[in-house]
Amino acid sequence: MARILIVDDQPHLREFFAQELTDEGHKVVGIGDAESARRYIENSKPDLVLLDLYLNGFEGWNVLQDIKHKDPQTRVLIVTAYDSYANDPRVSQADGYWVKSFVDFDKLKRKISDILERKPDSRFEEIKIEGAPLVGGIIMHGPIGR
Amino acid sequence: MSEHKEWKKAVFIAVMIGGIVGLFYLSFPYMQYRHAIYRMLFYLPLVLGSFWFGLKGAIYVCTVVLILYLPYAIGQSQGSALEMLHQILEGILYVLIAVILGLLVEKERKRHRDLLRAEKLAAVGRAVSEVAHDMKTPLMAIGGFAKQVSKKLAQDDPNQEKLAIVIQETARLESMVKEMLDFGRPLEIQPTNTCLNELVLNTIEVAKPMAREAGVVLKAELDPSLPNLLMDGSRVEEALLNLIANAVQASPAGECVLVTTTQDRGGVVVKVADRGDGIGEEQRENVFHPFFSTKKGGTGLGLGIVKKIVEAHGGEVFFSPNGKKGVTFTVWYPFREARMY
Repeated sequence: MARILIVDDQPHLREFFAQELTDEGHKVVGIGDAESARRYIENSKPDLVLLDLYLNGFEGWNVLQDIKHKDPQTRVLIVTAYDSYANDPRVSQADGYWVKSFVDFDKLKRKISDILERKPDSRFEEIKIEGAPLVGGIIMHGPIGR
Repeated sequence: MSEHKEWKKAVFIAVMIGGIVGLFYLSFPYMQYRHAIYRMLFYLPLVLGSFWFGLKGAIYVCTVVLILYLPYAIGQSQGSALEMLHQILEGILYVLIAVILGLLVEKERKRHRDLLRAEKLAAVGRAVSEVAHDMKTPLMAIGGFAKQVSKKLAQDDPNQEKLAIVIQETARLESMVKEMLDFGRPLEIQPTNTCLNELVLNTIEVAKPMAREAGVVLKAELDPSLPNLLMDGSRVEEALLNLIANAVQASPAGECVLVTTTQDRGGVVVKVADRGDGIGEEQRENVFHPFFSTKKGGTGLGLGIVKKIVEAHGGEVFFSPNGKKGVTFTVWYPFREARMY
């Protein structure tokens, strides 16, 4: 079980990802804007961040840079509709890149497992949300609807 | 150019030629210096003919001028060999200029057409790309939620069948979107040492389930002496898979799609022959155009992508009727300096 943060401005997709990943046994938090995501990551240090690049323009790139700048150990998997950025040099900062596709969703699950397996155990810790409350975020612990 | 305008231009040139020839016949034969000027005037309709109608126009003007002027020139000839030679050389020069002008104009027109086409394709590509990206997210939500609902329902629930259709159709739309994105983006080729025969066999393996479903048999006749080539294997496979998929879809059940490899014109040739209904005369010109499709539910981008991939490798793709039944698509990849053994 890992704590996964989904940063995507599309609420339906956040909900879909959350459902799939909670079914896999993960604790999932969904956030829809860059600023809240930055705050949450800083306070709660999730095990993995699924980051959409398209957040209010391409703010996702800046979020990625900020996350890695503050803590290079934070695992980030880029989840985007744009496969054209797969070879962008900035992608090298992230731990993975996945192009949104419901047909290939199992590939995402495998990628998540691979990244989490690479992760040092010391990074697993309790969720602590400090500072300002989340804006535009949803928090789901355990399967939705239970 | 509208037909009406073309006629006006043709009539203008004809009147101009008639006027110049008239000047010869209406002037006194001894006015040699004036005749020299009149002969130069013949270049005017030639330039206009080439400019407005290309090589065809230049040849027409040249022929008409020679036919109208020659009887006068022969009639006025004093019989001097030098004068005859002069007239002949001037005639040859006129024909040469007509051909050169016509060819240059044709070349320039082609360049202009290609440029317009490239600009149009780039604009279409950008628009397609934008639309496709916007479609990806809702498609993922539709297909994803449908899967989740399906998982929660009992296997024998009557709604399972409907959900299966939603999932299947969303998957089809997603692959269409992928095709649109492939078409919209500039192609990056990452060449590696590739055995084309092996690639063909792999692609046939990938296409087999689709062929089986359509009741079509896939066959390969491969040239074992084919050298390895430096090419982007995954892109070449994508192009071939597109051609095989089209051939399978075009062929009626029980027929066979034949894939062959050979060497020709300093390169390798891959042919995909089907036994379908062929391509109608009126459709041939549009086959490689984006969004042209005769298939229900097709994006019409598949062959455009094939062309893009083949041309990125410096190759060519074309098609020809396959005897009385079907079509053969031929792809030629050059060896170039990149040839490896």
